[in-house]
Amino acid sequence: MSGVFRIGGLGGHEAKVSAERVTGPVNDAGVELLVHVGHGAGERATEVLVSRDPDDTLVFRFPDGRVERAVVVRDGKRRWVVAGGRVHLATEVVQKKGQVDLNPSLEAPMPGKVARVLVKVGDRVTKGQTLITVEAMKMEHALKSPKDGVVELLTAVEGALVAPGTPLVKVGDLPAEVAQ
Amino acid sequence: MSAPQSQGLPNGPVEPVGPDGAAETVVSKTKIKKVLIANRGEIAVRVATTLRAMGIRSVAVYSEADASAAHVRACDEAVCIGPPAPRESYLVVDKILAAAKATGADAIHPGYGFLSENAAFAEAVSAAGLTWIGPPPSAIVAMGSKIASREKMIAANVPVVPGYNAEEGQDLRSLTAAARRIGFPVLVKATAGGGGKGMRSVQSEDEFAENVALAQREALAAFGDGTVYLEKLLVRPRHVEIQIFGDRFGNVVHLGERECSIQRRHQKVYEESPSPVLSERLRRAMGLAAVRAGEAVDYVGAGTVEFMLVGHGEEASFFFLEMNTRLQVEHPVTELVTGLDLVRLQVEVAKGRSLTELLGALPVRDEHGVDPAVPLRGHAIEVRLYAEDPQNGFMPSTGTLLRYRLPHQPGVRLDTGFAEGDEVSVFYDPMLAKLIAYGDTREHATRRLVGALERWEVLGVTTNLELLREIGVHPAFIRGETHTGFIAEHWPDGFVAQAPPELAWLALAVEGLVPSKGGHAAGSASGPGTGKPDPVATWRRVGAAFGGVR
Repeated sequence: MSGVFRIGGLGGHEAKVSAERVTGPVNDAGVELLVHVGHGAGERATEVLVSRDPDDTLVFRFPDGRVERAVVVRDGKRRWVVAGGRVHLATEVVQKKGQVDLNPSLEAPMPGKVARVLVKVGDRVTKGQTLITVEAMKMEHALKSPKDGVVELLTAVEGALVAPGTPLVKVGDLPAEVAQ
Repeated sequence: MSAPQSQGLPNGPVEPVGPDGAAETVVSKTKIKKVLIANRGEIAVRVATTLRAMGIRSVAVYSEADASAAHVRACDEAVCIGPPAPRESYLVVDKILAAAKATGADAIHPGYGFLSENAAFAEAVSAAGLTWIGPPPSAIVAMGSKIASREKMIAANVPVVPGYNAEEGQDLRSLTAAARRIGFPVLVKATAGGGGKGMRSVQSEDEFAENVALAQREALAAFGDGTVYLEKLLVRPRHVEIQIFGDRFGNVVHLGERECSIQRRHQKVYEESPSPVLSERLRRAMGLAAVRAGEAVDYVGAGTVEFMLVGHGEEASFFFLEMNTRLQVEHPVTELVTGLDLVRLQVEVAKGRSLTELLGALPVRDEHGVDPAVPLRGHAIEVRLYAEDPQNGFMPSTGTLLRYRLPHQPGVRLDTGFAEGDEVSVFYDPMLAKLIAYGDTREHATRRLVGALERWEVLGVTTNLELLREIGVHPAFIRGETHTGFIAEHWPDGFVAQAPPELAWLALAVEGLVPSKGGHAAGSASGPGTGKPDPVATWRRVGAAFGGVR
């Protein structure tokens, strides 16, 4: 499965992953793969033999002899990954026209009402800055900027009712010449 | 049965004794054969469990979103009361009373939250000829307003947090003058509310005006009442609450304390009994203050008096915070250290039985304090699992509980309103479960708790499970250094989970390239790759993963 995934929500960890078969005899013990994982600037390639247990758990056999196990459960657009004894939620970063959209919109997380819109298009914002608050379940939830940048798109209107997944605001990169 | 003889100072009201020494019932016993539970989720399941053990029939009410919820399955009968939104279902008095009438219920248990502290509802229940399993409406009213309850406590000689009850007005000038008198830092609080809403801490006078306005606005939105009052902000306080119980004969007792200091934005996360720092002397003193608070409002049923505790050992002082006129979420820790079933006690008291009958001779008080009504044994710790995303500002999360199970182990109790496969929706409180561990000592209980947290398999919604685990193994927690700023102190930048292991990325990369094994999936009409969900394959895969990848 190749693509860009994010684990841990906006502001979490992102990586571009892909894998290809290593040419050679098809092995009964599994599939020999060369896996590429790219974080930010660096990329790592790992050779590994992968098979499945009868219950579909993925079994990884590394060249150094290590054997590890993991599980991936698909849940709509989400992937639940159980690895290292913990559960991780991964979402695929949506590709647009062959280009990865590195600045996804912040969406309404649940049905609610836009309480306050604190920015306008063109505003410079910092990571963690509250952009919009949504009132839901009798509390005000703050949607915070995932990074330093500029407000590119603002569809939120104070008082509007929103359904979960409705995009509300998008933060783009700072223009190159003024980036600090 | 003879009534307890009081010696020296009176032990509060004594059960009346007839001429032959037998207790004379001033209150006639009420029959309770069928109880309607005006609630949902884990507390409704909890109440239904006890009712079944008592041989009493239970009626569930449910909204359209809860048609197949756990609490509906847990009761003998169920009535649909409307659309998902609470204000169209669980909060509609008429619909609940109609459901009671239609099913022939003779009593109503309100649980916690929803209408449990709504005096008008309590009165409507009685007016409809049903037994209200809760305190008298007058007690609910007296303790419902934070300002009024503080005043009542002052009158009853119960120490309160130094503060200002807005008796000179809500205007900024009066509030500012009062804040100066109390001394910064102060806490601005909503008189009509709780749960942290309408609450703001103010370090100094220059932030005061802005925060008062914010608090008033939030209070108005949440409770329909923007009135605020002020309290001195205490330094590293512990939140220690006392469980009290009253009967219809005027007896009020206490059942020890619960410490609920570990909170996130005023929402309790960890609770335990006994408190790591309470001496017997302090427990007796706080217990007496709590009993006096209950007596001041002629309390009947289960109630909790919350205090703030500051200082250590002999220097410790406690202040009344508020009284909750209902059963609390964290009541299981008291049940485990006392061996009592508090829901059963609630029903028995509502039937008109006395605490002397139910618990034996009640402890005698002196001017320093009073013992808990039953001895406390061992230690219990409860944690709350919430469907929320710690890495996204703890926003509530939704989804299907693809995997949700806790392998059974001794000394661990799970109170939950969900089962594996259930849908977690947005309409209600995001608490999924309470996990309570019991042990002979605090250390024993902690080890059992951490062990259970490690084995808890939850997949399908993001939760605060990682945070619960980290707290349980934190050296400060193990040393008992709990205070209301615990999470803020040890996670000052918020909770950030560790980076995912490289293995997680590898798994995402290879998943679609390695053919699935097993009869169900290979070449079948469902399973991964076909776009059709195969629930059985999912369960088996996930189950092995938890066992195999630790």
